[in-house]
Amino acid sequence: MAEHAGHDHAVAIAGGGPTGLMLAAELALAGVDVVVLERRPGQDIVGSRAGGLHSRTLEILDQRGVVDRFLAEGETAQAAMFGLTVLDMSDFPTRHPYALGLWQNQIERIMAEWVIELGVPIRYGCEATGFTQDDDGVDVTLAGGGLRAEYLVGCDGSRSLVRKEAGIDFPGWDASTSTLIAEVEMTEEPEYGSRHTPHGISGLQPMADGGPIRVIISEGELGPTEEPSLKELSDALVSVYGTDFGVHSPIWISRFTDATRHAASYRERRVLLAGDSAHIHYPTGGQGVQNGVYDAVNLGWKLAQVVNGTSPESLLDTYQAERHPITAASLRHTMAQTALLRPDPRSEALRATFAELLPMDEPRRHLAGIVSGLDIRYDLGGTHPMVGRRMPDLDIVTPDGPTRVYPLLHDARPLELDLTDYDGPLELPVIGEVEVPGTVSVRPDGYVAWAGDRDDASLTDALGPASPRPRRRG
Amino acid sequence: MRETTEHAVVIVGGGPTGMMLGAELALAGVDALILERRPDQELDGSRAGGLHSRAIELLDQRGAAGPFLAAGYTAQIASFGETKLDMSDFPTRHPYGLALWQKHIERLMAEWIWELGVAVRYGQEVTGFSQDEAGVGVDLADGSRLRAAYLIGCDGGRSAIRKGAGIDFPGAEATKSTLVAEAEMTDKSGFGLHRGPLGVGGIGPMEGGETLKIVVPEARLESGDEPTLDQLRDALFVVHGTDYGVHSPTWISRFTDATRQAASYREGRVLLAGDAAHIHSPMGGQGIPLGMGDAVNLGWKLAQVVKGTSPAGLLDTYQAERHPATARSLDYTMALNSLSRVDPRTEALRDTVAGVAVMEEPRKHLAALQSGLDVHYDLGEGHPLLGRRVPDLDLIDADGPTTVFALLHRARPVLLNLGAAGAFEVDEWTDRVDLVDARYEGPWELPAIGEVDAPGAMLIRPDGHVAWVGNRDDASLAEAMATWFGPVRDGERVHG
Repeated sequence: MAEHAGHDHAVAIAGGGPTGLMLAAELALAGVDVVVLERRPGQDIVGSRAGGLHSRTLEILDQRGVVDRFLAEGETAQAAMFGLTVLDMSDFPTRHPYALGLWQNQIERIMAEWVIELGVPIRYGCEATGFTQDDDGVDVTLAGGGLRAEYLVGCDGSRSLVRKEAGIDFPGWDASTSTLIAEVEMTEEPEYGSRHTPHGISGLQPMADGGPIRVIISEGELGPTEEPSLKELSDALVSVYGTDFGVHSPIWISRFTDATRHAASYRERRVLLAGDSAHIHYPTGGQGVQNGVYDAVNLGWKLAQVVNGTSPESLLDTYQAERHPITAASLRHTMAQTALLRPDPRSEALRATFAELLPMDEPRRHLAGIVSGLDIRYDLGGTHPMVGRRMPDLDIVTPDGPTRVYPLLHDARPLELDLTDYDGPLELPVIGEVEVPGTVSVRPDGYVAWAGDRDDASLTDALGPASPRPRRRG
Repeated sequence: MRETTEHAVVIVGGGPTGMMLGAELALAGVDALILERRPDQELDGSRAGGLHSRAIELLDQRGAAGPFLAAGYTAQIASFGETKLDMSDFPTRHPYGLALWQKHIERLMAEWIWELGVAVRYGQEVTGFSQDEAGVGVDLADGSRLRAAYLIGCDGGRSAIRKGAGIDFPGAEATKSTLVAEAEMTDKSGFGLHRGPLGVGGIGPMEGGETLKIVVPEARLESGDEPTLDQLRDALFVVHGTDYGVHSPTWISRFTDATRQAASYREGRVLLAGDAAHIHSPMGGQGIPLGMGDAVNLGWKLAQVVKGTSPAGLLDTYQAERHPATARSLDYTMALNSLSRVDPRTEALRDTVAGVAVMEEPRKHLAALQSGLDVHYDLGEGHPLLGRRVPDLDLIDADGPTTVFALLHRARPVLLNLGAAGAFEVDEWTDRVDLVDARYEGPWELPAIGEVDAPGAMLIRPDGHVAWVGNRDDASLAEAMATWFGPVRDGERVHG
């Protein structure tokens, strides 16, 4: 790890959820001294929370060689959805044409193990309570002292203290509906399954044999922002089922809403935001964890290059330039589904009419491309359709023998790939088959910075004068 | 005992549905009388303004589309959300909608049915009716009494016939109301389409003159179909911040998005058609086409039952076919209502929907739905034509070039043989079914479905829907003939 005069760490990450852990891994792979500050006493989260990783997130984990750890503990399924319609993406050109069902506490545990293997310190029970920044770094105030870092990244969730302290605006749309979510015990055998109510969808699901019951129940009126009580949960159950099934012993009760907000800026000098601290939305569609992971892998290598002194600080501006529009589209996509899922008869009619269109190939691929994250395209200019899009995990032959592209990205370094001898098909999700370029330049996050013929002068521009020399493979 | 006049069928309501039904019955040689409450055919406002493709085809099947096409103008009028559904590539002679105000549609229909000899009595209001096993007695406001074998309520959304028959009218309550008016304005700066927090409205010129058509959503759900000028002024003020000096209204009305469908289309000898059987918001322009679709489906069936060639059970197929088809259109209209809401989440959804609706397959699917060209009655498994509308193909028959629709002008069933001439005989059904040997060389293409196999022969019902597809050896032909056009009398049979 590099020396940092006067700094305890090069980068401090506030928040050890999926976004913070992914960012920590990216920085560690790039040789950056990073610390994760997590408020919780350990990695355990109370409650099971969101569950699921979409295709592009699985690819990103595959790019780092750790996807099998996740696949081994969850179940893959066709779970890309729009509204209530499953968008079967099993014909997508990816090694992971599915989503992975995995509770967030499992996701976090596996990620934390990986991050610890990479040598990153995770300081639990350590909440960042404030900070001040100057031209050279950030002093982070902690409950029991403080530390100084060159950069502070707020991965500290929707109520982000880092965002608030940085004075970054969080504009958006207020909540129009709220939902209670809980894990509880019940004395009576409840009515398992989901049910449409005048307020929305409610559902009761056993977590495991004899284990707690997971409850999701839409509220008739927008609930207060405070943590809900058992009484509120009981009332909501009674209003839908006529009984609360003897609900007791809640493990946790929470409330989520469809409030949708997006940070006006992802960066305030040496302070950056990623994940939920930069954007919140309704959980429909399961975009939360994915958007955080996409943020982390977009920011990680850029921040590493700036910290390592190989790129100017302005490279960080591309983080917001690339991620903000993509996330804005994702937020709108989630809002669209909130409108479609309203429980009134007219929304129901729209669902029925729209559902007739979704199984058709073109809409199915278009929407599955959005939900799965496989259609993300950063505006990097260029003429070849691969530019700005994710590099597919092709089967290739190198002087060392047959391999795939993603193992070449395991150490998160830029990659220049000579495809002159590649004769397989080159198919991009949603787009279809494209011409095989002579050379592709792949960024550490797996997005193609440049594609074309090797003697094209624009290649040097794409790599940038200060970039490390990429290794040539293929 | 009061004097009674006998008719085979009495139709209550002389709007587009009632007149179309009158025409269908007249073509089948059935004595039908239309009772219309208005003193004449004039409407006090322009009302709805258009016919979708299938409605134009229904007129074309009777050789009556010409005057309508000449009086309006054709255009791509189908849209979903904010996406225009261009159907100019559809396999129909009328791949467009026809913009024509309802008052003109009614005037042209009235002229047509007058030529067909349909009796219309204006200024007649039904005050009650009672039915027995043999017929229906109908009481009129002037104290006179009529008697008919069947009574059909084509008397609109508030149908007295539906209420009198005790037929339920379940559905989705209104959530919003909109004023529609024809009036003048001293300030014409408000022209155009307006989308505001209360919904969509607009102000635009009518056909020449100073009168403007005004559509303005109301802040609160209101009811009653005779709003005042003050209410119009208020609504304009709320939406636009001014009433534009609105004055001299010739017509003010109100519509809502209430959506209801009769639980039953028939109670004994009383049937419902058009708005009497289903109401919905005018968005999407489904009203007149649905009513015409009802009329053309019911007309020939009722004629056969009245004439005694088919059992009364045939009338059950009217509801079995039209109720689901209309439910689908009502869903479509409600979907448009939902998509027209003004809030950030619906705006986001409109973007997503627009991204999908422009795609080839979705565009065709939605355009076929809105235009009525995709109507498919469930007549069992088989060739894709079965239960769908027959396309208006160019044929060559014994007399030379003709078209499929020309064969339907008389509203009689057609057994269209496209194979070897003389392969079929229908002698037992000669009085009921026209047998036509013809040749057709071109492709078979159905809206939204695409190309289908060329059928050897098909049985086309008077409403233009295909009842049977097959070849001369199929025994199922006789069964189809009997099902749809009545059983053969003793000793008769069909020759394959």
